[in-house]
Amino acid sequence: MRAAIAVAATVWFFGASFGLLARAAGMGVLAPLVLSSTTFAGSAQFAVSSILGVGGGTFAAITAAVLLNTRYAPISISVARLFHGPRLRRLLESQLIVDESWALSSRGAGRYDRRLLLGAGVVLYAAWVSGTAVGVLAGDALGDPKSLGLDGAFPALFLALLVPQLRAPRALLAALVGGAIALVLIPLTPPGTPIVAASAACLLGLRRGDA
Amino acid sequence: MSAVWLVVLVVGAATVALKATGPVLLGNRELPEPVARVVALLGPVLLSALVVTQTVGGDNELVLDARLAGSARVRSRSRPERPCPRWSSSPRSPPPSRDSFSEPRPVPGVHSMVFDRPQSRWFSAEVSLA
Repeated sequence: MRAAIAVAATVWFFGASFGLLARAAGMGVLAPLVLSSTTFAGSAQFAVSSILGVGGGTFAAITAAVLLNTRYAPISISVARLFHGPRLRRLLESQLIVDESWALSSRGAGRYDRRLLLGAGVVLYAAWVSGTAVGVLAGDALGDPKSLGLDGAFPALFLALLVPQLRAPRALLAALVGGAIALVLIPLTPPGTPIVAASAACLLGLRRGDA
Repeated sequence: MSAVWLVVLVVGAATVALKATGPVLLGNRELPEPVARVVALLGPVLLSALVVTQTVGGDNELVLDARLAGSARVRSRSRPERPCPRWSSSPRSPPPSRDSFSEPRPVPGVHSMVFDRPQSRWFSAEVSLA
């Protein structure tokens, strides 16, 4: 649980960053808070605010965010055995699944600790939503966050989320291919489209062999 | 409904459903192995694409134009997909232009280079990214 609190501090900062960036992207005050409360997934939310911020369009923002969060299907399947009771209770508890709580609760060999998953999930959820609130409101006090150069924080945020996922050689290769696809398409397609097209690199997963 | 709220509601509902997939819908059933392998790569691939688009798209859109012109200055910043620790502290890999953190960004001179060349096929792309 101590690890969860340390992670929560980082998550709080990311939440505040999201609030600021969402304001800069013209999402207003309430919409970023609702997004943090319902989505509770950093990379997808940053994708939404960055795509809307550059005028990338509704479809591109939704597609990129939903594709980014598609990983929660297999992640939630991996911990499905930890959830019991009525369907509504399972639905609510499952919303505490997030990359960090899932990673913290891993006991290796496909086993997970229910107490850690939900306990860390609650702490991280509170940190994420309260961080977002502070970011959104601080954005109000500071004026236009774009004038502070905060939109430049996006690549660093995504990189921080990406690096821990590159341990497997296949993930590294797929990430490089996906990045290359996006790079080629940036000048040729509307914003958002390169991100969606890059997901074709996931088909590398169809190859058998080592992860 | 505004575009922002449409995105917020659809993404929120989709994420709630995705996170509930295992605990609510599937129980102990597993995804077919090839599908699971493909889905497992979505995280790294999409994040990598986001790093690239956020680094050379947006404010740095001119990198593409300058690269095509073979600018030596831009070559040093032309590998956005390579994870480089330096980026953690300096998100836009080139040194920030003066005062980028203290006042509205000055419009760099390179902008005029693009707008001087409206016949370039990159022109419309640059404008749509800006």
